[in-house]
Amino acid sequence: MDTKRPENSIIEISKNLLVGLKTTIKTFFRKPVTFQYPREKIRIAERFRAFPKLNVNNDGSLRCVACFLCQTVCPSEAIKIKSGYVDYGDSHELTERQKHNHSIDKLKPGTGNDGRRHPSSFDIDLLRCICCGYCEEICPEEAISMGNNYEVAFYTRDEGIYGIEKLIKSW
Amino acid sequence: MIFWLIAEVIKILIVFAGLLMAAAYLTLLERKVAAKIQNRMGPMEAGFHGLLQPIADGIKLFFKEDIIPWDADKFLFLLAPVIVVIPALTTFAVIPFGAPIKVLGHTVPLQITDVNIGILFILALSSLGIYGVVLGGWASNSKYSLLGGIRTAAQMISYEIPLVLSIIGIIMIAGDLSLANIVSEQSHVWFIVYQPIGFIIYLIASTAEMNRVPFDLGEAEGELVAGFHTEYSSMEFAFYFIGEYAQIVVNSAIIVTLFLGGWQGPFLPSVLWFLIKVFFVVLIYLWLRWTYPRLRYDELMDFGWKFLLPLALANIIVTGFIMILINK
Repeated sequence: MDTKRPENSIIEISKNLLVGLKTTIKTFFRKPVTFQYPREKIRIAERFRAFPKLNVNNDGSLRCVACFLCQTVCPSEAIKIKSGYVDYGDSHELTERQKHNHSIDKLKPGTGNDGRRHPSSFDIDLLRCICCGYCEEICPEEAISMGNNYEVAFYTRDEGIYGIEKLIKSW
Repeated sequence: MIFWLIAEVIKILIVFAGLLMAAAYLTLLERKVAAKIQNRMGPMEAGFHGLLQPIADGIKLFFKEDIIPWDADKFLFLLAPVIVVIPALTTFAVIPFGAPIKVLGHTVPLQITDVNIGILFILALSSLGIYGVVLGGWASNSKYSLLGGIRTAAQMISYEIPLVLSIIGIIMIAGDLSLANIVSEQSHVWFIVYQPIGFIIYLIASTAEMNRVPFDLGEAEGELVAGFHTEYSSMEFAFYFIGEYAQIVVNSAIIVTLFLGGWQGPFLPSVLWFLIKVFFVVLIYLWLRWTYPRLRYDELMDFGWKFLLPLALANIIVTGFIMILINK
């Protein structure tokens, strides 16, 4: 050590040592910033967004109309949709658009459908999803939106592919 | 005679159990202090705020597989941890931890034995602890252990000298080597007032003596895995740990006895005063540990030989001069 340099004088060094002690004694009396994770959870922000979720109408039917926009826009190709007709029975809550364009009236009686296309399967691979929110932004029916469940863990890669059931329920 | 024997055995048992408990709970205290300093919570799972953590750790270590390296010198390998623990525990024998009490008409000094060369006894035993480290490092037959052992030996030898010299001032003022007399000399003024430099030198040198951060070159985990106890597992490892933490308690007790007036203090019972002071000195050691980074090896040697040793010598000379001046 070059003791001739001014910053290496004994006075300067012992001053700095005391500054170090002061710093640690200050943090000693501060409240810890960590918390007991599985038992306490961090309060997430209101605009926090994690993985996508599927929204449903009040009667429990999917809002998704299988327009494939989200699958198209998804940059990491995490969404896989198969379209098909899903029988939800006769009673439905009509969406604003259905009320407006009277699409249900044009159906043949006894079809057992709400007159809209629905996805027969809707898979999101959570291992591919990058939570960018493009699908939420592009969705015309507000059927898909970003949820706030950040605790996703699975044992195999296949479990990471969430179907309709899981995407509705798990958030 | 019988009474004396029974009293002695009871005192030994209390001190022994107390030291072991203190060493165990010091691990928890260390982790808690570290956590507080780093804005964490520390162990919280076992018991209330982790109070059962040392017991859980002890049970875990007890049931771990005991691995002895194939090439190790088995006898020395097993002997080394014992050599670390026993001097650390034995040193406490001469430390008075309370005012003499009266039991059944007999006066019982709260000190296992009042040797009239108490300080020399402490110094002799505390330097024995090195052998455990060096032997352990050598007997493991591993490069990391050997390096750790060699470093520790060099470091302990160089810091032993300022450690001893820093106490000389105390001996000069007290005029006695017996710890009981040194404590009773401090009934009015603690020796830290007369010997502030000696106190600081002793604090630093004893930190180095105990192989603790910032002087833990012997077990520098960044470079040497774990230094001299790299190959140790199970209870042998636990022995090193107990020895290390018992040394902290004992060294704090020595500091309290020599510099901070021992068990002297108003209002509270003397044993309680002793415990409070020891606790605070232990906190100082922990505080130092979690503040400073480890020194480089040449810096460590420079610091010991070029700074602490001259300072300790100057301290002795100045103390001598002042004593002569005052006597006139």
